[in-house]
Amino acid sequence: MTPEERELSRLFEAERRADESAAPDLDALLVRRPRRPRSAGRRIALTTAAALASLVTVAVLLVRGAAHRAASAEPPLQLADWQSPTDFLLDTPGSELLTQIPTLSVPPDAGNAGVPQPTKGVAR
Amino acid sequence: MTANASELKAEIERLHTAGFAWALACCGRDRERAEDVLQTSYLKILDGRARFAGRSSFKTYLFGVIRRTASEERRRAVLSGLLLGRYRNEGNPGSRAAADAAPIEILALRSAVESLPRRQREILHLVFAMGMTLREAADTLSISIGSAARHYHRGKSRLASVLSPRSRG
Repeated sequence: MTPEERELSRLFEAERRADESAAPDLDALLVRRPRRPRSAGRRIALTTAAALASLVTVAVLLVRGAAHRAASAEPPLQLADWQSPTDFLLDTPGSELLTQIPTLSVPPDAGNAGVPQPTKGVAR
Repeated sequence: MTANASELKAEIERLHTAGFAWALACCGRDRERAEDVLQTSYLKILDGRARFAGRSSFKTYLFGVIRRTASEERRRAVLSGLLLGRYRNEGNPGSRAAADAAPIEILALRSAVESLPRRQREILHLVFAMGMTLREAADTLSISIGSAARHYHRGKSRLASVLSPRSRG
């Protein structure tokens, strides 16, 4: 043991002896009531604090639940509804010919179209 | 009371004064809190809530129960302080006043010890005041012997550096 340790040991032992001489009687200590029981006021304060904490928790849960329900009420986006923003570039002139059967326009007198009409001797 | 309880009480009686000194050290030298902690610790042992398995000496076991009970009481005080906004870490000034009538060198030691971290305080008290070995002190604090040795050496050198200028002055 170094001199430093001896000195510390001496001081600590002196302190311990002083503390031990002030120790309470064992039997009295075992049967006594704790000196600082929770007072009624403290119990009420603890209960109030616990009740307030519960109320705050319930309120937060309710608000968060309502927000979650509101968010989930919006209609979901369908994947099939999506359109490319550059889709119009594929819409070139005449591209409808690729998707439709072309039709020839018929003039109003289309019924006589194939028969030549006499031009001589016909009064104009 | 069973025979076992009688034996336990006899052991407690044998170590009662040292247990009180240890409880004081665990409770920041607050006599009132130390008595409460000591009473709770004894009742835990006698009621069977804390069981002595015989793996260590009864002194190591008793001091471990006192330390754990003091920690529980401290946590409870902190928790209720957080709820109610009034935690008094300094203990009860009234119950400290009587203890302050100690010799100046002991007061200097207490002041120096209070500046140390809790683990270092505890290990130095167990080794120097209670005469425990580092192994016993480690068992009491539920830490490894390596940690106990580290806390012991750091605490000892810090304490020596704090105390030496005072002793010169």
